[in-house]
Amino acid sequence: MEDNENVKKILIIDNDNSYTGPLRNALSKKGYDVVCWDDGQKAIEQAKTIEADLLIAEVELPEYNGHTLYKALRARSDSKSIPFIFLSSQKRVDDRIKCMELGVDDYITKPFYVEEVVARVQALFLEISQQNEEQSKTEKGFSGNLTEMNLVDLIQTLELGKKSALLKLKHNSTLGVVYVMNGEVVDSSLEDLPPERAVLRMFTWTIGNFSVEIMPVNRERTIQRSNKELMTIGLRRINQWEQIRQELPPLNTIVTKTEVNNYDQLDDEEKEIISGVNEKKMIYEIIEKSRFDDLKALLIINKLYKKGYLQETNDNYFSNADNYLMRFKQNASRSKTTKERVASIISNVLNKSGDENRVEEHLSIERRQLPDRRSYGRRRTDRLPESNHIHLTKTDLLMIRERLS
Amino acid sequence: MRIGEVAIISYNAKENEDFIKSICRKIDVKNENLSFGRFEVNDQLALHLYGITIEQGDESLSWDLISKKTIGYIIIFNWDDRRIFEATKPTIDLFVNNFETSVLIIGNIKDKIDPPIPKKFFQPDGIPLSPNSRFTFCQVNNSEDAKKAMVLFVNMLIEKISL
Repeated sequence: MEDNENVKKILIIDNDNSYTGPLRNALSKKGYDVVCWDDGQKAIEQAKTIEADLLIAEVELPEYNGHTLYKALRARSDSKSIPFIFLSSQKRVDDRIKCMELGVDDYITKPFYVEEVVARVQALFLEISQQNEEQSKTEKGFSGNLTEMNLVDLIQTLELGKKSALLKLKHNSTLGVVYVMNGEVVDSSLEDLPPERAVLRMFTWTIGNFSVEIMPVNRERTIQRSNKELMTIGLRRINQWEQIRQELPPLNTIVTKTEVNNYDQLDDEEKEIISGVNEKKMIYEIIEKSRFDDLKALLIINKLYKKGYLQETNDNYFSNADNYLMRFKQNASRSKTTKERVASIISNVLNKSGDENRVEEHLSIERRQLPDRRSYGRRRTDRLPESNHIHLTKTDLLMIRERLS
Repeated sequence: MRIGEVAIISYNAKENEDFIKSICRKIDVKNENLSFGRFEVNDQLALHLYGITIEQGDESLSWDLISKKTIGYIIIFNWDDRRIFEATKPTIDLFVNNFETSVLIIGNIKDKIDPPIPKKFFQPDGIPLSPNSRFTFCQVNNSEDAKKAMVLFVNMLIEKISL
């Protein structure tokens, strides 16, 4: 049994004891604290003080109408989030639609099976707790895959919402952190790189995971460039990075020096990189160990690869499946969306100041999409996902089910 | 008027017709490969049941387009005929693995007693299970039984909405 504080309180308003008695017993057995009132008028008068986790009320009682009670409760800020189930002897579809359109959470026709009502109540509480959990997760942060959302996307999202957050990115075994204060990137850390270079390196990460922790950030600003400047540089670098990378095997490919050793033909930067490949190394390891900027290092490696100074080793045979999968993932994410995404991000970043309305519209759409039981009382969604192209509402389906039964 | 369209699919036209008749009481339109019945909930809401008789190789039909129109698929096969199940399986695989649409798979039985299910019936050799698909036994020419299956199908849709 749960603690008293956690016991859900259910208020049933109906003057027909033949229904309320068995229902109260069944719900009490399931651990709910059930109170029954037979006076609807009292409920309307005491709407201000009703404390319940769920209200089950008959629509038509001699002295009151359930719709009036429902509206009275919804009108008050402290009771507008109480879930509401209507009971009714009315079988007419119009009545049911009217009730469902008011926004009640469920509608049960009398006579009913007590077990069914109990099951529906349990399902409703479960749904509410899942929604609350989801909402609380959304408020605290989110996580995901860098293939689907890279650092540019993340910064842009936080900038739009003017959020303060800790962005943690994991690529292979490397962990990087970006500090965002009121939507602006202010600091970052990645191994021993300077903050700005760390962010630029993380821009190129397309494989790995991220987590965003929405929280107050109070940090001295070490990155002086604005988001707009950072992302403009970042996007240019991503494009160059991608172009070079496509000419190379995946960056986790193990490479080694070839027999070619006439290093006199190489320039100083190329010599420096090749001298660092004393043993077998993955390409990204060479980049990370070099003193050069990542993009520069990648460019030099590409030159060495093309000139025949570097070659893949047999060790790659064993990781071919992984490489293929990674390549496929990279291609899948790149082929369809990168161009569009980059274009949209660039235009969004560069035109932001002249296009506040669009940003505001974007934000207001986001706000509308947030589940908010307090405002609407209805279930979060009443339609199947668009991908399914179903044009029936939940009310329709409930009516079909009842007609079939 | 709101209409939900459901595709009922089977190798045997009679199974489709039996099922539609059990739900809708009568078949409104019928030809060689298609039967149609209408289940009216009220004057503003109805289900349209299209019985589609398939043949081997019909996996290449434009099911993707049909999927956009239907609220889901009900696939019926004769439980007592293993060959029919084998023939139906590619269609089941196609729907379950490729479309978001809900799929109810019905093993049509002769009487109302559910037979035991052999282990091999499910993956890897048998029916692919996914959040969008469910299996049930049903005597499709029995109205009560067919309606129970239909309720199960509607419940799948309601659950999907509630997710």
